[in-house]
Amino acid sequence: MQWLALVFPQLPLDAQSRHQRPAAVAERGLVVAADDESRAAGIEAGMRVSTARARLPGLAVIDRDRAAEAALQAEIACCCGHFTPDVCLIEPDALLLEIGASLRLFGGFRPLRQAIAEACRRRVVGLHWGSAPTARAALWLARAAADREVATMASLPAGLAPLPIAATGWPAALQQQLAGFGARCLGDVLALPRPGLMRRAGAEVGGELARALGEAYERLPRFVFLECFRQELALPATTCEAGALRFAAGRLLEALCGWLAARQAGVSVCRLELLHEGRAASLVELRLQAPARTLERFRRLLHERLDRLTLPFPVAGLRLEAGPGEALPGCTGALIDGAAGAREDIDLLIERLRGRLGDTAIGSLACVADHRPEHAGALVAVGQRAPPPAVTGMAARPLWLRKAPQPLAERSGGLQAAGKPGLVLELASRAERIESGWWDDSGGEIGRDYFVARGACGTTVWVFRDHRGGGWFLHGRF
Amino acid sequence: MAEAGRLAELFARGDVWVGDSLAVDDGQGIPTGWPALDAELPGGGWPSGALVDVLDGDGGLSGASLFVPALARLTQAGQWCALLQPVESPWQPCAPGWAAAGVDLGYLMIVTASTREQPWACEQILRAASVRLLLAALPAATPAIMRRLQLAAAAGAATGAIFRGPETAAQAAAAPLRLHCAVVPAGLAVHILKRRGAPLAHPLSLPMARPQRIFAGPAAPARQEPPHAMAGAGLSAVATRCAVPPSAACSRR
Repeated sequence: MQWLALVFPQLPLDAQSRHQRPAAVAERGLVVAADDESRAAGIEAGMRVSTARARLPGLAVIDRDRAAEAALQAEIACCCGHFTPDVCLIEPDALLLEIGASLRLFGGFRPLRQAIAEACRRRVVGLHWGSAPTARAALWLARAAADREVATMASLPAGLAPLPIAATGWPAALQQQLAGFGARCLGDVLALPRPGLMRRAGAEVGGELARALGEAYERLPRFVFLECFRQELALPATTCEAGALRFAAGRLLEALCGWLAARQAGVSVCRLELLHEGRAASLVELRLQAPARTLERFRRLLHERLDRLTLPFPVAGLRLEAGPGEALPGCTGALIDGAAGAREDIDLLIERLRGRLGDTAIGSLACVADHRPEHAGALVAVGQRAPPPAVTGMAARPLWLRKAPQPLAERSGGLQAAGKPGLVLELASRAERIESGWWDDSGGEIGRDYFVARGACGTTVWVFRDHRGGGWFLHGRF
Repeated sequence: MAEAGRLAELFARGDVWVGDSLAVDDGQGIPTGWPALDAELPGGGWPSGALVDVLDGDGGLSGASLFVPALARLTQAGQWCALLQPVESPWQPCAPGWAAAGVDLGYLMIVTASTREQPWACEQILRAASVRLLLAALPAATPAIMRRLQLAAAAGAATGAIFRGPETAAQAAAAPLRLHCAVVPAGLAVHILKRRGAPLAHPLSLPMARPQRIFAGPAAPARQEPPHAMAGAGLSAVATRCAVPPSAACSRR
């Protein structure tokens, strides 16, 4: 087991999407987090708001938004699902990831840690990390802002020794008591005889130390990747700009793909709502050809859609909803790139074409059991296999059909198209009568005699004589 | 001697050809379905990863017939093909007709795009690695667009058949193969305007099957419908003899 702890020391401030500088977040009259500028002026967590205001008159004091903090923490937890399904959410500002099983897949500890840190940086969240074979030791390392890795169980006591006692988060009275024993760092506490320490400072201290050193099992609350995905994001300022929307939506999509990876699932549809201030949201539906969880596919589709979207109002926030996902096992990487990806390649192409040309622009032909030529073919979703037509021995059908039959003039023993005086058609087959369609309300009732006709230059066409309304029409081309 | 040997080595390469003989493509061509045409094309068929510039007078209607056998062969083998149609076109593909010609409709993608979006759609399809044949009517394609599409085709493995009007014959085109195609009473007359090899002086005449009855499956024996050439007689009279009640026919006169 190898645990990676992520601690977000400035989470109350980072979760505030808009604020001016200098700023501090306060709860019940006490400052809980302050930005760089106000910290430079001497403002710290735990200070009274009135004192902080006195020190820095221009300070903007923002009320703490616990819901936003929890949402941001959950968003990062979802992203981490991409790296490991074993994510624990530690209130109020930390995450624990079990990464032992993922090290090899992501190329070792360093690349994995950098990828996770990169995901946090995209969310502008301050981060401290620590890694150790036990969860508690990793958390203490991160809380002490150690930013280092303890790789083995044997080196754990030495790795923890230099940490300040405050990193444990024990009650202040206990910390004072330990300081009274002369312990300045965790190493001093570890050096004390354990039974005596437990008798004087309480059994809980001994238990925590045992769990940190891996001598006792620690039960951790696992983060639950819910059945349906739903994340909301407030933008720092209302915007109409596609670039800003792309970035913000990319953040949500990254969380979505992490959520899907942790659930071993894929989705084919997700709904992105662009929230306007005081108005109904605009909806962008991203529709994939098949369930997938590749970030790149969603992102490309999103860019195609956002580029072509006309926004009625500026966007103040985004909401992404998806799920429930369909089971989609991961696939084994191929040793040699083969033709296995043909179907996926086609899906990508279809998605890209659909994104730009519209949903109805791409399809496959399918034969329909209907005797009327206009209804004998239909455009269906690509790749949908229709059974072959049951009717055999039917007279020939052309390759091309006119969307609207073209009237022909009957002249000097032949048929003549209106615009082409040179083209005279002669009938070259017996008539095939195609009629009726009374069940069709939308004007599907026909009564026609079809002939194969040939022009002088060799063109073979399909013409009919309408014996209901009269007149000759050009309908097909062989 | 060594020089001559090196020259011969150079000529043996697939991408170098001597002006008066056909280029040797590494057998990558898609058989056209007409042995006479295959014999005249470098590589023995439609070139992969290249454009075929087909000049026909009717927006791809007769040109498409030239590619139907290749389309049938590819789709039956489970290879993807695409047909790009302008939105404005008065014609649409008729499913039973293509199915009867042996095309597996499940592997034929029909894409409809406006004239403005067509070159983009063409490029995307040609770049997709798993599409083998694209049929597209681009009457307004400029030499710049053709060059761009040729580059896209070279990046993928597809044959891109682009149908344009015969008036573009005088323009320079990036496509390595250019054909003029017209319907004649015997079938199709194909004139090879440009190929990797000596130009072909005489047009090729390719026989086309007459419209036949449709039987289940492309391999079923097709019965030849006896032609009924009916010149001379009044059309409505013919129609009357065939099907229509006399009164209706007379009223047309």
